[in-house]
Amino acid sequence: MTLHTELRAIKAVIITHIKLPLTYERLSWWFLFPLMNLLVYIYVYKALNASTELLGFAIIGGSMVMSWLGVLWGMGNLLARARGSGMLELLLKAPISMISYLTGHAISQALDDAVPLLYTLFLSAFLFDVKLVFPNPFLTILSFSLAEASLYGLGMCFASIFILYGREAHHVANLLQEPIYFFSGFYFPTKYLPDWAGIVSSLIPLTFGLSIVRRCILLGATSINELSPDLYLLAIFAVISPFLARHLLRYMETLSKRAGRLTLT
Amino acid sequence: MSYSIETDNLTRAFDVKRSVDGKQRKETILAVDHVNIRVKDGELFGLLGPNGAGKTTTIKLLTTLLLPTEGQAKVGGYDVVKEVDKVRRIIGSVAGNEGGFYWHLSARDNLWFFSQLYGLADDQARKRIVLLLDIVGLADRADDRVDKFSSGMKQKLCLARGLLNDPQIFFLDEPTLGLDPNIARTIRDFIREDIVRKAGKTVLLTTHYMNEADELCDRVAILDNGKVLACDTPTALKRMIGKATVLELEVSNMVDDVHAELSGLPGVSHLVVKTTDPSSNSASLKFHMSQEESLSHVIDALVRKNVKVDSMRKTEPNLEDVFIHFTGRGLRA
Repeated sequence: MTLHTELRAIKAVIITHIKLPLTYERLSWWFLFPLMNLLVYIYVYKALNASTELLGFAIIGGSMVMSWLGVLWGMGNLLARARGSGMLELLLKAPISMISYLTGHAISQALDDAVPLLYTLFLSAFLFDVKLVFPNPFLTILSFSLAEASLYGLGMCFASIFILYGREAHHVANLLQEPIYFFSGFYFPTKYLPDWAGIVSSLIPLTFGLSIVRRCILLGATSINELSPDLYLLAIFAVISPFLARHLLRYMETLSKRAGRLTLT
Repeated sequence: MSYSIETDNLTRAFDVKRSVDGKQRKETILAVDHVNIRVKDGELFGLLGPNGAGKTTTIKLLTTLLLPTEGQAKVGGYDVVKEVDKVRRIIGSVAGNEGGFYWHLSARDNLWFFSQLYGLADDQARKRIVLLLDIVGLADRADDRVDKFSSGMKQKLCLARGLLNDPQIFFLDEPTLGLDPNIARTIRDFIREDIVRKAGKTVLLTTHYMNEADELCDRVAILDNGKVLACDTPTALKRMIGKATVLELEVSNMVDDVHAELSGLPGVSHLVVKTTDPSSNSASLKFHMSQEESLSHVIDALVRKNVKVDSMRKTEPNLEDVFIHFTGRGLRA
């Protein structure tokens, strides 16, 4: 199939996603869940008379939580869920690359998650008097974009791997959710982690994503140099992850076809 | 002769775990066992068999969703293992489970989404969607959400979805499963008249409804335990039973040990018993008899056991009788 066909498929996935109705579940997921989660940490910090800087750390982490959850549950479980609904069989029989379907979903999911991210970020900064700075808007957008691209690239890899787990995929997602919260330092600076945990932390792209976004809008970084090497590592991961996902997907598809796990019946 | 589908000793084994005496044991079962079929261009070919016969697994192998453990298959001349993309471009398929829709979106939006996966240009897609919705009788519900559709409507929408890419070869897995008789008839007519006769597509259909296979298919392969027992036109298959007389008796007060006695009577080649009402021990008995005179022995045996004969009729052999002829049991047994 041509690139044109693959792009058409990506566009179709995004448009279809946009057409889906806004349900109460989706609205509460956007506007209540991340804020409630974040408020717990903010009030703990406030009770301990923590600095505004620490509150800012928590606010940026808490806002980006939705991206991580979107990657884990939205993207990671995507193909396993499609398998359960009978969609996977249809997607596989269609003459497009599955990576186009995943790319379309990654973009849709990123757009979807941008709503709670921005809402939680600006509302909580306003409520708790945390000053966000944008000395170099281009750098801020680049940091956010790379953080999101590497995250959703990771999501595409998860989707490929989780396809093997079928109905158990959500257990795997559960298993990953909390440790990543911890090791990536969503609500606290990772410099307080013990050495061994710091090593684990440095293997997770999300840690770098959080780090460069914080340095941009909290600490006022103005040049790319101030964000290196994290920014470069994220850029590399953002570029290679779709290719990694493509290979994983092919490998997993072959394994699943051999084991007979692609369909329910 | 040109074939749309060819299989050569196509085999698919699955490893299953079974608990024997409290211990997990791994067993290998052959879901598809050295199947050889050839489906001609423009033919409506049926795979008939009970649940678990291997029909769906065969379709999954042919539509590239499963890898064979042995043997080969070609669809449209392309190898289903080595030329997956080429096979996917020329096939359409429909399974009888109505799945894989965006339930909160309209029929039109759903079809548009799938049309894009097949690379149809926007204009072309919109025209084709209008045409297909009209053909399947859903034109007036095109903008209704799919979750508001009845089972029959969803099944019609599945057919429309399967035809979006104007496939050369169409796979239908139990297309009328669970549908009410009128809708099933409409769908059968659509398959026979529109897809095969008018559009000249090749169709491979699986079913466990013998009437469906008999009525629709140019040729039928009868499957059981993954093996093809027989393959021919429905008329030729029914002729295989030879001169056997088929008798159906409706009885009540049925007792268990009658089965063995009746099966052993001279002239009775096959007997299938189906319980119709457990509360009155009512059952339907189907006999294949090589000698019609044996009927008196059957009646004597039933009277001796105080089994009451409610009705009796002689019928023409159908495809289920062919299945009974080969396996000694009914399609739904």
